[in-house]
Amino acid sequence: MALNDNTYSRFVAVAKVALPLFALGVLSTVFLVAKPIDPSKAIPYAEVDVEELAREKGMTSPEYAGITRDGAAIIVTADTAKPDQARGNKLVHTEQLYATIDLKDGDQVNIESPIGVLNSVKEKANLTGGVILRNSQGYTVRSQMMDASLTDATVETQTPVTADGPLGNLSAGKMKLSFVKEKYLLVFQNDVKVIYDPKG
Amino acid sequence: QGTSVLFGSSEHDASLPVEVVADLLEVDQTTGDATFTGNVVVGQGEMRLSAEKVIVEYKTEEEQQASDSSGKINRLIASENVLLVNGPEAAEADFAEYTIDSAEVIMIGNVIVTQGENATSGNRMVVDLNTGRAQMSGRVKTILQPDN
Repeated sequence: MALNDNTYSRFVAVAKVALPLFALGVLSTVFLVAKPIDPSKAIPYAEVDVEELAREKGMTSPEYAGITRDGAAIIVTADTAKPDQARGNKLVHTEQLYATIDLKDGDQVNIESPIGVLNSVKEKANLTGGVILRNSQGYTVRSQMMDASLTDATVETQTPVTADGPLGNLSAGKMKLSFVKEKYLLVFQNDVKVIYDPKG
Repeated sequence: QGTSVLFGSSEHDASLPVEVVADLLEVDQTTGDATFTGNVVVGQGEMRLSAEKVIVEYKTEEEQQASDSSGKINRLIASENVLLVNGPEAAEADFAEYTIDSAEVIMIGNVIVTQGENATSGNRMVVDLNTGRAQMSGRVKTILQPDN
């Protein structure tokens, strides 16, 4: 009789020993299974040349707005803009430049250029790297380089131009958008060739 | 009412792409008017229309819906020593209006058509490029060279 009334206390005695051992076992697996920790990769560093950032003054997503002599509003935005230290920051180098020119009578010209150099003295922007100009007439003009003047709404290319629009697709040696005879004219020159498809 | 003249024998296809070559093209930003100037040559298939100046006239809204082809240009208006060549025939005039979809060229102002030795002149000529027939009117004069 005495035998069976202390099974519970025997169970407790066994548990007092087995359970802590089991706990120790589980605790040890924490270090066995855990991935090796590499202290150097603990914090991901940004690969940015900090000295360069500190030395050069630069702006991110700058915006320039102005009104031209003939009343057109020019807004130029870019991803980054860095003044050119060498030439006494007369030049500003920009990347991913977007220019919007609102012409007087509501028409609009948008220019996109990967690289742009704004010259604040001559108030000209030299756009390179494959420039795309779109106007509200539905023309899309593509050229390698374009010069845009910031004082009057004049955009000119020196490199060959391809374009498409209401007239069909078009190629020319040169393109100039300017305010002539009280009108904004998009002029293509040097063996202009247009292919118009009647079927549309 | 007028003299009909054969003009251009080959079949003309009005749906062929029209190619315009010029020294200069001016597009008005607001109205969209386009003007070609300087050695302008309009070519479509066999037909060549050359002039010093060609103005592009777009279709109006209604014309745009009405016409089956979705092309936007209604007419090309050529001026300053206009020359139309279609196959063996050539025609000179002061002005020419080329309606692309209907393949019709209206030549106005001392029109001279030369076919080999023969020449016909008049004030106005309407050429239907599809059929190759032309209708000349207004003081028509024909000079036939008797082959002696």
